[in-house]
Amino acid sequence: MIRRLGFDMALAVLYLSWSGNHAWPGILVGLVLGFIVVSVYDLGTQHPNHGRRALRMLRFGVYFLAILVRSNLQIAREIMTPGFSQTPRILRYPVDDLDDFQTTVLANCITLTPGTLVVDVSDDGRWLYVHCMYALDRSEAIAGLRRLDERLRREVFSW
Amino acid sequence: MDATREIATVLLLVSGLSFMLIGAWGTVRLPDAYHRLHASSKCSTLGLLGLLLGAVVHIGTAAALTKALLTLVFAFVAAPVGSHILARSAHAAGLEQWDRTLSDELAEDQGDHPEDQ
Repeated sequence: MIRRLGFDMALAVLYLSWSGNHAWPGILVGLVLGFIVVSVYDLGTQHPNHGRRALRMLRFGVYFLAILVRSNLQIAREIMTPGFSQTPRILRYPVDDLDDFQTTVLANCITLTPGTLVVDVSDDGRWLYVHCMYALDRSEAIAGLRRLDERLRREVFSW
Repeated sequence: MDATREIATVLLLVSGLSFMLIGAWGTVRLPDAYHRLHASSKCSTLGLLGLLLGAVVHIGTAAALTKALLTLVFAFVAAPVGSHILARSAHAAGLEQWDRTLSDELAEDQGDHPEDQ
């Protein structure tokens, strides 16, 4: 995916230098043309389609914005209503099979989603320690993290 | 047309600012360091999104959009990383946790492997 995106941008730069149209519309046209070329190229390879993967990433972006808003509303409600209803825990969550970059992306997503905040990574990189605000039932909190994790793997890490 | 744009700008700015205000309030009000980090990391990110979108709608040029998008990318990467570091140092320094915290598996694991510290 990363290599294809680079290819995409190289084609856009090529288009720009030829057309001499350096304003925003020109850049967009260049990117769209490059995107189409890479997608057509993918039709002849074994790779899953470039366009479909880009769509999946876009869908994750929309989902991510939605949960960011939800997490803000949740914490706003907790802050603005009297008394506290949290049942916090610090949980360990396994990330054995992710590399360092993927672990970082997952950790950032966990921190921005409702009720969860990454506290630490174990030195061997196998566990994330996550502070959950609502974790009365430990297995349910883990299942919530698992849902985000699987979605990220399916839609973003499947390069 | 201009009126709709003004209204959109004001709505975006006000919602962004309210989230930032709530985040700041939470940083004061919530019971321990971890809960406060929840408030500061999430609310400031969404607040910044609202403020920047408001600015883009008001200025209305492609250059403004590009700069806002770049700023957002950096903020979305930097804010969680900053809060990890703060949470990590809070735990390493042994800051007191809220008395209703149910379990702390990080402390358990560090107890099991004292050589890791």
